[in-house]
Amino acid sequence: MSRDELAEELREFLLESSENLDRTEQDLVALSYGAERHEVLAATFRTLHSIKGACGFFELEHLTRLSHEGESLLAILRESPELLDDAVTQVLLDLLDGVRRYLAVIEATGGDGDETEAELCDRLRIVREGLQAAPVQGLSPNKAPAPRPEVQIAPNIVVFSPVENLAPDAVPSHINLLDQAIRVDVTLLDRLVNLVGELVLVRNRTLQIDSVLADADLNAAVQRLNLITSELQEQVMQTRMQPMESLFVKMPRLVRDLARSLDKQVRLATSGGDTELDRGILEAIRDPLVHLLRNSVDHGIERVEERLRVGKDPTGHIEIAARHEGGSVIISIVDDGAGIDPVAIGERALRLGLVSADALGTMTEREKIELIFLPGFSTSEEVTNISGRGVGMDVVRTNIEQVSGSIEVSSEYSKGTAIVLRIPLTLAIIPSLMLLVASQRFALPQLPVVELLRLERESMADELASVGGSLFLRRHHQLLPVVDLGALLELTEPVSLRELSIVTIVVVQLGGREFGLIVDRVVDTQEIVVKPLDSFIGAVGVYAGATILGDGTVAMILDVGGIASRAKLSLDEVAAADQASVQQVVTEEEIVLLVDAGSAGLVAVPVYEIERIEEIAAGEVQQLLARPVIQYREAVVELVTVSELLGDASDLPQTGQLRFLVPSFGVADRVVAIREIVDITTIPAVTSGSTIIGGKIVNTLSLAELLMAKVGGEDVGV
Amino acid sequence: MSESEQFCTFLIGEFRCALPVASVLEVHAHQRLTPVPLAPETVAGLLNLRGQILTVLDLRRHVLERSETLSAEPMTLVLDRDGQPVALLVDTIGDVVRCRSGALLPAPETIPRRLRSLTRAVIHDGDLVTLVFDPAAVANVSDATPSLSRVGGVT
Repeated sequence: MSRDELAEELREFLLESSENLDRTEQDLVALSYGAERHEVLAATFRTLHSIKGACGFFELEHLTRLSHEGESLLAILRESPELLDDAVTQVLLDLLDGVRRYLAVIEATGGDGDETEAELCDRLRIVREGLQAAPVQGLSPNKAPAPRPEVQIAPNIVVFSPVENLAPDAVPSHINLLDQAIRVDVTLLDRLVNLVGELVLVRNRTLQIDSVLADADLNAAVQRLNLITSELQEQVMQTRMQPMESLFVKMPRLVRDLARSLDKQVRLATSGGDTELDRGILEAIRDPLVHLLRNSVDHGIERVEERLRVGKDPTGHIEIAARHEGGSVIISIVDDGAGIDPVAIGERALRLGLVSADALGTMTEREKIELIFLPGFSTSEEVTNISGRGVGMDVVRTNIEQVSGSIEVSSEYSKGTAIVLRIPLTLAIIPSLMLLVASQRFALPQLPVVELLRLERESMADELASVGGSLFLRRHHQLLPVVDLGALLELTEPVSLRELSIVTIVVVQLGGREFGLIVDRVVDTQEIVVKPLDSFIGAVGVYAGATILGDGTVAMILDVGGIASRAKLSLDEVAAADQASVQQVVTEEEIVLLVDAGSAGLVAVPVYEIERIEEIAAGEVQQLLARPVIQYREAVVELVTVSELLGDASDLPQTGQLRFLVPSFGVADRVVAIREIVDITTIPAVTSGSTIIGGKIVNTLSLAELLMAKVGGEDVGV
Repeated sequence: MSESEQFCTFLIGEFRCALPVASVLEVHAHQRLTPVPLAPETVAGLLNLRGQILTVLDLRRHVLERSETLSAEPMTLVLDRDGQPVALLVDTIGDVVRCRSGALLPAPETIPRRLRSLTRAVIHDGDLVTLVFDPAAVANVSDATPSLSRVGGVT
């Protein structure tokens, strides 16, 4: 065997061993949850045995000794699984750690270096001797590590058959599986993804040229290129996908060790381990996830006696679950611990000077809990005792947001805490909306986009409201804050509702709440390749990167979170725009159309009652059954004046242009004639009566009420 | 002659400036940039250089007084910045000059203060004075707050 081959074999050995160790560790930890002991011990034995076998082959003296000691102990345990108690499990876990340490040395130096685990070896021997001395039924103390079972274990020894005493016929069942999978260097995959990214750009460019040239042959070829590129992209991205399981495997051990050191009882359940995620993202959320889990055990779950005192199961439960939802992966970490005390959090933040007393006074519980995300909130030990939660949460949030994810905490004091992470599947190539803002193209990742709205002048006033200088969109019985992108980016003056004829709004969601973005136009959707930005452009905060468009120009990629925070539209404010407070705003203020209604004077009509404002020449008014009627939208409708609605005679002008309001509710056969639109303004909401606007007395009236009354009360003309 | 260095010269307004040739990757005629709203003033925009997105710094904004108007079609100079290229806008790119290191003189006190942080040395050639910029300082002009240094230059 050549040097290279040997090095290759050694690499394989390290990879295999490290995988086996991970799995074994998981199994061992699972033992405390009542997994089948015998099988686990047998599997652990096999892992150790195959490592020992390979050690002989690679002449790794110290690791051989350690794995031999471990194997001997396991041989006994395998025979008498009932001997396995918590202390022995700990020794076994330590054994795995010791093996790992040797493996690390081997990986770095090629040999197993100095004997660093002599003490561990001694402990293993002492434990083994202790067990052998124990009078346990069925255990014959002098039984050496059994040679027989080695035939059974052979199938798990995958690559290393140099161990002489292995039966060669036991190997094949695994070989087939191996043939289906090869190990590929991650950097190679990353390069592939980059190249495909470039290919996507070329494809986009080609599509654009094709649409200009309009050549049939070219078109056919380009369409084919398009399809193949899309498929290639999908497949290549697939190669980077890894199951969440690869993160989850480390968690039980972590929880176990931490719980032990804190003298707590914690049971960890994981689900959705098969949920796949881009490996780059997976890597990026590893630390935050560990951190959150640590927090849960450390500060969330109470001590046994405390749990018993409040009537909880003495064993704390933590569940990590992952699942797909739309284009994201949702990871939730739920514990049944002490929860977060919003009052304590608030006091702490106040003492640290992170919030003012005033601000704190108006905060909801949820907002107070979110204070834990403030930088500098929780570096001290003190807070962990008071609040029970929140060390380094700002770092966690930053890490999550760096991969365009979001984090949300909800907690019920004394009941538990739930943390939900929303993570995009992949980062390199993302579907985006191409927007036009002040004639400049921007890309907006499609992931947070909820809907696109196009409001025309007639309905705009009904759906868009300006309250206290901020724009809001009436949507499904709530008000959504609206951000004027042009103004936010300082490209245009803030829009004036009155001057707009059409508004395009992109409704996006952030952290479970929605808001709107006013843009000039949505051009199309494109798959874009995200390129990173220079640090001082990144520092602007509203861009997630830049991309190269089909025509070779660069477009900025907007970051929804950054836009929200620049617009000071913090999640809290968005929340404040939620139902309750908003309803209040809506009922307290009303947008009205101020119209000159002839003899009825100035009247104010709520805009939501008006669907359209139309104009017609007085000459086009006809008489039908002694009532003035016009043809409007292929129907005959009656013209009613405001004075009539108020019980006076009709004052319909006979000449010139007539303006009329088309009500937005179901009285389809009547429109209300007026003289002039004077203004659109906001008034305190009143259903009927009079108010003073600009020094003039104005009748406020509800078209709906008056028209309905008229329909109900009198004979209807047409 | 062995102790000589080559410089790429360029003009910004009245100033004749230079950068070591070794730090200049390439030069381009005027190119269309993508503006970056809200970015620092020295950031002229972004540029697609063969699939790589470069930040373009308008060196003229840093070198010239605020009141001076900038030409509409500047030239672009691509500079290496620790392996991450950055582009600079200058008015006109001139010749490459060779200069013995002995001919490099320390920057005099009389040059405007806002240029002092950029200037490594000056070359006197008869009446011509060329400011030799420090590539690292130039490549990071927007890191230093440009508005401050501009104020410094005015006073």
